[in-house]
Amino acid sequence: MSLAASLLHTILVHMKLSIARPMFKFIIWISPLFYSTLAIFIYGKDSPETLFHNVVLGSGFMALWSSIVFSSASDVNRERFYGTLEIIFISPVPFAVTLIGKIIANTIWGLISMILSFVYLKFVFQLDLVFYHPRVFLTALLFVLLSLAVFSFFLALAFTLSRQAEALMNFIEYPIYLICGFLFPISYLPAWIQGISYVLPPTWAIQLLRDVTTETFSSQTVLFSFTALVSLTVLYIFIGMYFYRLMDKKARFHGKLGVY
Amino acid sequence: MEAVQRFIRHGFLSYKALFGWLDPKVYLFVMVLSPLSQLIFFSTLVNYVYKGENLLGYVAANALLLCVLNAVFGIMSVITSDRWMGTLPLVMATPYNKVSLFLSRSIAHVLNGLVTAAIGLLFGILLFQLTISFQEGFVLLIIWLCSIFSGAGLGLILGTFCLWSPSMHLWSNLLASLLLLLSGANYPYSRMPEWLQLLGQFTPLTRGVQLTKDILNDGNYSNVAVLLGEEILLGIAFFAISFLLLKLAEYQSRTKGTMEFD
Repeated sequence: MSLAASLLHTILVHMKLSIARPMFKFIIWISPLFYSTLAIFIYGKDSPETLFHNVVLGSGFMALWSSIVFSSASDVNRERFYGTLEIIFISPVPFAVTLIGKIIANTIWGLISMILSFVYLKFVFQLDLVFYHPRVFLTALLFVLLSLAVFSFFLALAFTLSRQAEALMNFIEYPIYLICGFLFPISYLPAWIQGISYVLPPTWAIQLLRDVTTETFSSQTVLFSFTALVSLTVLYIFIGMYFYRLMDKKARFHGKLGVY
Repeated sequence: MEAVQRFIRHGFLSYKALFGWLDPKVYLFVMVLSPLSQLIFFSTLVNYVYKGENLLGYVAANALLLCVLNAVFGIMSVITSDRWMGTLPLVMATPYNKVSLFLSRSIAHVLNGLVTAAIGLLFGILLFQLTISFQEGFVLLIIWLCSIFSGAGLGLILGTFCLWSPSMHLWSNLLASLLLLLSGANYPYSRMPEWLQLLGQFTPLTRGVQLTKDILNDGNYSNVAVLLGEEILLGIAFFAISFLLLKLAEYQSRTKGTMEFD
């Protein structure tokens, strides 16, 4: 079986496995509706662009992020708990391919969840979806998904390597919403928190989506957020690769893959 | 007296059993930092959207929300942890009164919820440089205790669902989302459609949140007696339903032997 076929098979199998869990069903189908409703009730009436940037994109992004943080990040640990981590690791298909397949599967579910949130706000609350440049938006979204997948790969390995990081998993949901400015601009946060915001890809991911959906959009206005997102993505690819080597060493040299 | 001592002793033993084997860091993350991060997120959000208007009421309402959620989750975990550890059949088979058993186990979680809320409120007050008087604080304590009582009743109802369903996380997250939405902790209650407002009248917290906002934002104490009475009645109704469900589960476990199966 070629690597591409293995990857495709992993994606399909993992999509079925993930959605079989009741909690994941809740995250994908129900949670976005709660977030969207909450966001629209808080904002009430505002300009269509503000509502789109903060309510539609914000709650949609919350749905996307929840899918990533509560699945990709914990999938390796779930395999460890099931006792299947070692088996996946020594199978002929490289472990990285399996992990990337899982992340792509969860990202696809996250995207579905995000679209559900958009549709819900459009038809139930009659909000305008101001996609002035649909093609540009879709291109930006592709980069955003790629960046979040890379960040997810890094998180999954960090949570695998350290019990301390794993304790963070259930804690990081709201801090990320806050620090990355999902529902309001990060310029509103204290300067020292903004410093943390700048090194997290989700900050630039949602900023890029906001930049490409402004009426005064031009290549100049999105250049900064786009460059920042791409640069951070490349940086996290390297960190992810380094963590992957650490995990490989932990498994092959120390025989401690199944434990911390 | 012996019965009361046993009741209290059992509650604290059960609480220690739940957290005794955990790393203190996990406790800190789950019971303190995680709720605090939720409070800071929503307080910052409403502060941005409403430009600081009525912020104290919203911060306190979010602290109350955390307090009730913590108590509710704790009470749900009382039942689900038994299921998880395989001790549920032993608990259900014991001749000891189940209602009394689960109530005694709930006490520590209610206190834990109050501690979390106090930390949250204090943190919010310091963070946003707000002030609260002793009188307001005292009245809030009474209101919050009533809301926790009502929330605990609902928590026990959902806890009994876990006797039939293995999806504890699903139920607890569904409840958390519903309470977050229906309580009006982060927006004026009138913003909700009428049918949601009506639904909100049957959930704990709604009245507690309304009173918290009335007192801290407007200094209005006129609704305290009526709304607290309603909150207590709602709590009594929830506990009555949960006791009936417990009895049903106990009966089914003896007659069908399907407890712990999906």
